[in-house]
Amino acid sequence: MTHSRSCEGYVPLALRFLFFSIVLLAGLYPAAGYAAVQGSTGPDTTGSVDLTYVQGLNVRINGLSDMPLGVWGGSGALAANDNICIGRTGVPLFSSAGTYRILASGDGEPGDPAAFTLSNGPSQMNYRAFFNDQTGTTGRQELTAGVALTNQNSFGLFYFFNMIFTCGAENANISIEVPEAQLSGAGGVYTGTLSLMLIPE
Amino acid sequence: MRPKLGHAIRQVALGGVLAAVATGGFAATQGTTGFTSSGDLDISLTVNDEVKISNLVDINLPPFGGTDVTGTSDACIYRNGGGDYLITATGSGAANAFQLTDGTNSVNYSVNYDDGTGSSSLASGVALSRTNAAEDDDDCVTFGADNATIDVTVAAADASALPAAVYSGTLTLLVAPN
Repeated sequence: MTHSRSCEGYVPLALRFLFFSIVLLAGLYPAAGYAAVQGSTGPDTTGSVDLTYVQGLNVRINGLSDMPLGVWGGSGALAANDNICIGRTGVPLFSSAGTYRILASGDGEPGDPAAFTLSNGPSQMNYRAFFNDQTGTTGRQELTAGVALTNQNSFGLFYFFNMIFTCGAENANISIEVPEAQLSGAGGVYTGTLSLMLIPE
Repeated sequence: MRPKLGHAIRQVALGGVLAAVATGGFAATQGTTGFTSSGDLDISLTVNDEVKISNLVDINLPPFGGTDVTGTSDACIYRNGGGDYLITATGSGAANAFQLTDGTNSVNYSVNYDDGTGSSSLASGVALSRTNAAEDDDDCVTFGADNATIDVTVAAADASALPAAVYSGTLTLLVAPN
């Protein structure tokens, strides 16, 4: 009977030690993740926190408008253009040190899911799209559907305005053209969507 | 003050709603700020159904030689996108009859139309449905050749009874999409 009581007293002691160890580790381990320093009790007290700010490159394209080309008059090409806003971070205000690229895609066609196409349902026509990294169409470059146009640039101040305002400073232009040869298809209302992706470089 | 302020807020809200409605035609999607930014704009245009008849030449009928007197003009029929069309012929005689006249006497003529798939007789003012319109080429130059033929015939029996004179008239052809 004595031996039996002794054995019963030994096991709870071991369990208590194990429990104490777990509580101690649980208390210490999370404390290692905290960099903030807590104040201590006294006439005055000081604590501190570490600050971290990760600033990635951000861009914003804005100021896009639909392009209704109207009714084709029976001859000539149809064209439209629109000044838009490109915003980009990471460029000093009075610098042009930050470039970007534009990736354009249309509604697609068999064999080219990004082709610049307009459709009235059964019939389809192709259009050309251009991008200019300044307002207006002078100096524009033709876009290839699904292929990024690289090394586009603007002024830091314009980038800044376009990041903090909706469209603070127009600094680019998108234009389209439907060649006359494409317009002799079947009659109807042709529509399509041109999607533009802005990517910082 | 509270009711006035509430009223003012309602007015501002209403103004906002009206502005939103007024700009509702803009379907363009603006990009949001991020590592990349994407926007969309919609493009639309209207191409009307259009047709054109061209390359017609005046028909000078040969002198009566004892048989039917016939003459021909080719024509180019264009419809954007190609497809079917309606052709309606009218003459310059009374009630648009196919008639030639010297001012005193008149003579009837008949009109046949061939779109390349076979000749059909035309009645004045009655539309005939045809096909084979040229697409992408409104004057049949790149198409390679005209794609229709108009034949007019003065029957020998009518021609033989006419007094000697110059008989003339105008045949008008109206083409419409079908």
